[in-house]
Amino acid sequence: MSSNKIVLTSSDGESFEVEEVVARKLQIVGHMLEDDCVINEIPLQNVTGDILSMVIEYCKTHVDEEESEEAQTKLKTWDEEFMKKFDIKTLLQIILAANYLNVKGLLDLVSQTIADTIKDYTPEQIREVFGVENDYTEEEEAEVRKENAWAFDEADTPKP
Amino acid sequence: MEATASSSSSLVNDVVEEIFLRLPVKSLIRLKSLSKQWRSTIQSRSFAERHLKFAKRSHMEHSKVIAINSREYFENEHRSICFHTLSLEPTPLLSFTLPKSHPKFSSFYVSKSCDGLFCIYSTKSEFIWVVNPATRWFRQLPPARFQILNHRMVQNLDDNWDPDLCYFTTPVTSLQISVVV
Repeated sequence: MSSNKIVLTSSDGESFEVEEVVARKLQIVGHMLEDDCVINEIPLQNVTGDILSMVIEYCKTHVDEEESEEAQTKLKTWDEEFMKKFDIKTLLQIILAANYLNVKGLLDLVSQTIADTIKDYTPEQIREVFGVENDYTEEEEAEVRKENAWAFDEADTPKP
Repeated sequence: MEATASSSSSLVNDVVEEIFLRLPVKSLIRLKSLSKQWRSTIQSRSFAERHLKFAKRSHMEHSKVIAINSREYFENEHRSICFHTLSLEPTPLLSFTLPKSHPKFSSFYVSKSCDGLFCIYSTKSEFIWVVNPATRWFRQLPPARFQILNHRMVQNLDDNWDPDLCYFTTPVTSLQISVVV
């Protein structure tokens, strides 16, 4: 395994020197390295330094994914703690970065974390979080809500 | 499509879809009212299939679904069947009672679940019902000829078999609404 160093540069000009094995966790970088053998510095548009540093932290921790159950449990605990640090806004930035840089494990982890966070949100809150444009007319929306009224019912336990 | 939100969050649809695929069914039913586009995505077959994969993976260690004949709750005329998840969490993933107006399922069989769908068959009626308790979708299958014949015979027998508790089944909730017979 090579211990080459590679420099990753964020959109706002921050540089991170990481080992090649870590950089390869970013599949976008992995592909570049396969195409060309000698690259020392890789500019990454679309990712700011503060977000890139989180992604790198994740990749460093996950650099050797061991099979043993003990190692897996440890990683899982680390993942949970890692995710607790961020609010939803930051999580959204991380997921975009993970998508762009193509870090499968992180994409999975953040998707699940966001899903767990928003599962009880109202449609209005979800629209705001994800910037979804509401293209229903008022009547249409009321109709769709009526059809699915039970899903809006909080105390949804059958009455004796 | 232009995002109207002011925040940094005009997220690409693919990424939002990745997140939605991991939501419980009930949340997704609510999100049909987000926009027309999202309603059609959520209702699409491919979304349901992908959602099922995640559901199978993540519910593996979690809740089991149980079907109960609710004799305790209703007068004889209006017995019904409830589906529940067995879990200690305050809000169950799934909790559904078939509307009372549906046939008297007084002695019923419930199949194991297949991708979140259950079959209900009552000895007192010739029909087979397919239910997805997670989406509350249900439909009657048209009876086969032998079922109609069989039903006529069974009707004449005195049937005392009446289990309250029918079946523990496989642990999946899904959006699936299609049935292959």
